[in-house]
Amino acid sequence: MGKATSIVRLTAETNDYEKKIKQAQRTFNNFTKSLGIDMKKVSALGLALGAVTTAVKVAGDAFKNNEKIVDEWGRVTKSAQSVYDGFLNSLNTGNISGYIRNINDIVNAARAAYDALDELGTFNAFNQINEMKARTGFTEAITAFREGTGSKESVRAAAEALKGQLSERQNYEQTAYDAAIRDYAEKRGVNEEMLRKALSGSYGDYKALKNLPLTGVENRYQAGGMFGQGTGYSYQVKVAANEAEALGEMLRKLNDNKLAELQALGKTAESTAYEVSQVDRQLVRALGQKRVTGSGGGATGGGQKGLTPEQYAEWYGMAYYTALANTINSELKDAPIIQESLISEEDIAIEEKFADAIETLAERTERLHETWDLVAGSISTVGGALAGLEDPTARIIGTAMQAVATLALAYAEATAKAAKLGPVAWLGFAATGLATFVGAASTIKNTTKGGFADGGIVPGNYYNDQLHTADYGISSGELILNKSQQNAIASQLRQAGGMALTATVSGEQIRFVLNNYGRRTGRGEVLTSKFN
Amino acid sequence: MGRLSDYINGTGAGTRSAGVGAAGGNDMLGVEVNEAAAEAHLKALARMLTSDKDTRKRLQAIIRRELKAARNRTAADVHNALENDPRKAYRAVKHSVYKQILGGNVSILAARKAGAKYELIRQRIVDTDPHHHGGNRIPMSDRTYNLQTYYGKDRGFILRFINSGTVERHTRFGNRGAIAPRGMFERTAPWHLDTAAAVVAEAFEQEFAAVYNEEMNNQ
Repeated sequence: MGKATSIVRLTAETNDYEKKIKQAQRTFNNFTKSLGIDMKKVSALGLALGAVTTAVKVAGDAFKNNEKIVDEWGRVTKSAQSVYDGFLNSLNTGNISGYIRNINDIVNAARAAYDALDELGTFNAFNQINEMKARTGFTEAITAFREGTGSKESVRAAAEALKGQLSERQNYEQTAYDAAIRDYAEKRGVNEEMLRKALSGSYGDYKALKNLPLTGVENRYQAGGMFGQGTGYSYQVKVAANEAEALGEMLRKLNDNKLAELQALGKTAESTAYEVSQVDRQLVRALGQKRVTGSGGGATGGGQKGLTPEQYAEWYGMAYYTALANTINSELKDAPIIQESLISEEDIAIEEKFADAIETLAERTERLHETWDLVAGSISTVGGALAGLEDPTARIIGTAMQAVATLALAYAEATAKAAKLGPVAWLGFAATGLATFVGAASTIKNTTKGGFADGGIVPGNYYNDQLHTADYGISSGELILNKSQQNAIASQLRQAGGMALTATVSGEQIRFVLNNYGRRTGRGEVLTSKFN
Repeated sequence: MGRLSDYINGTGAGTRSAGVGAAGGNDMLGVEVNEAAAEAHLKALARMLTSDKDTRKRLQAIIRRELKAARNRTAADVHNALENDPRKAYRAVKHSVYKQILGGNVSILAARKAGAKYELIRQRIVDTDPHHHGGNRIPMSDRTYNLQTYYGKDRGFILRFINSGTVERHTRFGNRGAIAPRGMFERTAPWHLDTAAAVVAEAFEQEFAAVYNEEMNNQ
């Protein structure tokens, strides 16, 4: 008997689902306790229902062998993750309103990145055999030609076939790289082109760029120093120096692991492109023709032996930038002191403007201090209300959910018309966001053991100020914010007006989830908050 | 009663404030609690566990329904794939639902117990003359005899032979040759099971929503 299949099975993996339902029950009960109500019920419906809906999705996924549905789920999850990452990032930068504006771009970039990576994976999985066949065909054609049994045409055809395969792969890899770069740039709020440039290797290793000090070389050379204005070599050095410093400044905000991952993706595409060029070289060598070098390509071409015109252009570009980088370093080492006599009237005018700007800045700083008092008052009001909650997890969720609820609503409105996701996936998205948040709160709880330089919640079950730092007694469950986080919340309060104050701990969120639920079941929008 | 809006707006019976702090806490949170709704919610959560007997039965019913549909489609495909099938072997495609775990299968394996009986081909009635007593006097042909009286109730073995192939059979009458494997079952069944899986997943979601809905409406 052969090994043909005689049975196919269908089973549901319910462990995950069960776990999440139970987790939802626990969350529900804990939250009620935190609100000081003895019954096991309260308004944590948003949290609980969110977790449950996620669980339902997970159980559903156990059945979804259908690739299309799994892909859609992957896209939704990836989008939710990006939205969440972007939110955390905006908390650090304080640019909440910018984040709300860009939330659609973030989601689209995340979906595109997921698709591109998925396509690349699928292509690699199914096309390796074809590529191997094409490669073998090429080698065999060359051998046949050398032995006199094959023709030049067949060698060329085999080379074209192999190049076709490689180019296709390179195309997929390049698309994946582009999408990943766009996704990360959107998520972290940096310029896509700058990120691409920083990882391209034009300025050498990105780690070296990270260490480049911010010297303001533009200002030093602006005044006419030794190079003066112009478009010549020295001017380009100046521009490149500025660019390198700006890139370094940008890179310092980003995660090393992620950058390495992106760079590796880019290098895969590059190496495939190199493989394509190697096929050309092999073809030329096999047919015994004279190789076309870069000598025809430009005035300075022909220097590097054994390079195709494209490779030469690439090499020349990199060498040029490397030379620029070296010059920048040497120039910076002995940067000239600007002499009075060399400063033109125009430059003096610029300096005056600069001085004015500093004065304005000082004034604004004073005003900022005044505003800070008002803001501090607002924060203490919010804090006072939240302090009533016993559970530390509830506190952080209370704060963060206000923001997220508003964001999620904005996103809901923005994508409701596009409706690509459909209500079910939409609910999943909302639930994922919520579940991530619940998870995040406990992560914060666990990771804030020790110092609080990055802010956090004091862990453990020690109350009555039993825990002591150098000067202060603190209790478990107290929330410590560092300066940048305080600023972030302050600016959030300022920018968003009543957003943080009128949103409710769960009202917005519940309304959001349940309204979706209501729409889906044809009940209409059943929830309204009496405060909105 | 039982409307989800009551849960938040606090218009239902048993509503109480979940506000915190002495002054203005309630305003800050903006939430009031309907205890009946909250209780219903907890109950719904408990019912949504698959350990709940009622829920489990409902889920198994969904699985059974979809597996049956998948089995029928598979059998139809197998029927089409067989050039000549006088004994209706395609009917031996069977499905079963597991008792312990949520799931089931579609197979052409041998039946474990004598449960299924398949329709036999009816004998041809040639005597239609009402005055002619004594029944059908035309004897059964060898062919009909073969069809009607082969050993065993489960025709799955015919399918398994054709699906998986056989080795060469040397009998005392000579070499009967080997059957080449057609693999028609594995070409069609997984496809239909995938479809069933997707439908089951959707139905599960609807079922959970229904369970939740029921509880909230019955509070």
